[in-house]
Amino acid sequence: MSVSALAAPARLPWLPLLVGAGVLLAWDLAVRLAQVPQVLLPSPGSVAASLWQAAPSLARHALATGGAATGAFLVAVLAGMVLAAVMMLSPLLNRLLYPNLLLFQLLPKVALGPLFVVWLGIGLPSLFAFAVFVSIFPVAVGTLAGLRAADPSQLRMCRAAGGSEWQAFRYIRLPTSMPYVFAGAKVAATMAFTGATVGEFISANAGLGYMVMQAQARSDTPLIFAALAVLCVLGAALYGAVGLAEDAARRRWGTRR
Amino acid sequence: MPEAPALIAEAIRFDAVGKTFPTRPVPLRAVESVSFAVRRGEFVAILGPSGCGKSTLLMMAAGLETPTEGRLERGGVKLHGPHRQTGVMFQDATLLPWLSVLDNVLFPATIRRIPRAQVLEAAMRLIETVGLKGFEGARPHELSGGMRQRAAICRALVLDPDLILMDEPFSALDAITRDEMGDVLLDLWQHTQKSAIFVTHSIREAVLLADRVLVMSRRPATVAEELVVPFPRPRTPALADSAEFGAVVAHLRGVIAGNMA
Ligand SMILES: Nc1ncnc2c1ncn2[C@@H]1O[C@H](COP(=O)(O)OP(=O)(O)OP(=O)(O)O)[C@@H](O)[C@H]1O
Ligand SMILES: [Mg+2]
Repeated sequence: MSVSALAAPARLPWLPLLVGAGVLLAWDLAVRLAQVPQVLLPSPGSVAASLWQAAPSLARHALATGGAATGAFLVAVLAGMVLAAVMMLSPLLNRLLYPNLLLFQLLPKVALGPLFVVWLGIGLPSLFAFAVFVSIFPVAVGTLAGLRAADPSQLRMCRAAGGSEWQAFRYIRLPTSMPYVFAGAKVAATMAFTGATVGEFISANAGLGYMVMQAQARSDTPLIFAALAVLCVLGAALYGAVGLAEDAARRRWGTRR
Repeated sequence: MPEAPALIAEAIRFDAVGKTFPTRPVPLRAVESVSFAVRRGEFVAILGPSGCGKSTLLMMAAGLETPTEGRLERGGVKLHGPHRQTGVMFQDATLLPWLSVLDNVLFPATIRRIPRAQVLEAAMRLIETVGLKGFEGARPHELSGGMRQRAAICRALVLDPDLILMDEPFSALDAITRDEMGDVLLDLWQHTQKSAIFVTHSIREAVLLADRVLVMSRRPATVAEELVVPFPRPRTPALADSAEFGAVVAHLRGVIAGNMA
């Protein structure tokens, strides 16, 4: 799939873009014709103006949110993989941890945000810990599934060659798990931004989430929209970066499934 | 090693070896008191009904299963676990899809922590011998089934083992490719002094390749019949077209039919 995507000339997705432009136009027309108040629904034009005017502070807050979310994402991916590896290599730890992991996976984790403020106070530590917390589960569960998906006959071949459990892990299980890790990481990328933003709602004095709360207090709806637009771009960028990393890994290790 | 390997004439010896799997509700007796030895340089083929315990026998020889009775000796020493000097081939090539052909062939060296440079030349020579030259950098999915098994042969031989265990290595291939692979093996064995145990369902393959054919009974497997193949080496694939060859194949077919009745 990635090969044909590379071979074909890059094409813009015209139809979805057209739909997007149509929605913007309809939105603009509706706001003008029905004279919707700016506080309820600002026109695309006034959102753009707000983006332009608030650009410096938007950039500053975007840096805070983007940094926190990306950092939390990286920690979650690493820690999630380590957690999965530990559960794979130690049956005891697996029995102890895995059911709890699944249970946590089912919880509405975002609801636990206030607890982090109670434990770690207002500010970056609680926000960061919270973002890691909500994004670690998809990576851990995904990686573990991938490590377990190793082909039994490949594992047997490795053992016949004199391979240890650890070598089977390194040379068979880990490469097998790659697509699973990336699938988990993609979910984690979205969750990290969710976590960071929600964290900023409740526990921060910087960041786009904080900015949204400030703008809401001032009934500056165009600025809310502007901040959300920046947030979307950031989220899409991290997701895209994970996709690029996956393509690179695929080209390097070339697992065709 | 305390003992001089050259003095031991047997590559592997089964001494009243049995295997019972602890299945429920009743334990499954797969192998019953099997005794035979493979001499250095001898090629032994094993024929037998499906499910009789041939793979189990081979897994024990590979050190992947432990016998529940009897004794298994490798080079005069009790076998425990996979042996460095044993090469194994399975029914599927089991190449690792994320590695190139060359890296797959070198996999046993990776596992045994042998520097790549030390075995690279041997690997390249094997790859050329089996007709895979030019495909060293290819990924398994770019190869045909026959080519994959050729790569698997190279992998089994790369550390220059003195015993090769093969469990129906060509049964997943079509008839023509299968005969071709038999010829590749035959060719490889003209130049080596390696011992081999070769499990197959093809009487032709067994007679063409082996010095001795063992026919197993129904489960639990024991050695029911033994036949020394009367054709001198070097052999060529053309041997399979001779009348004498046909006679031996027919005889074996009779033995197997009688044994199954
Ligand atoms: N790990 C295991 N646990 C329980 N039973 C097993 C196990 N491995 C094999 N068996 C059983 O042992 C018997 C012999 O199996 P085996 O694979 O050795 O037969 P085989 O002669 O190789 O058959 P085939 O010619 O079809 O490959 C079968 O009944 C099988 O179900
Ligand atoms: Mg079998």
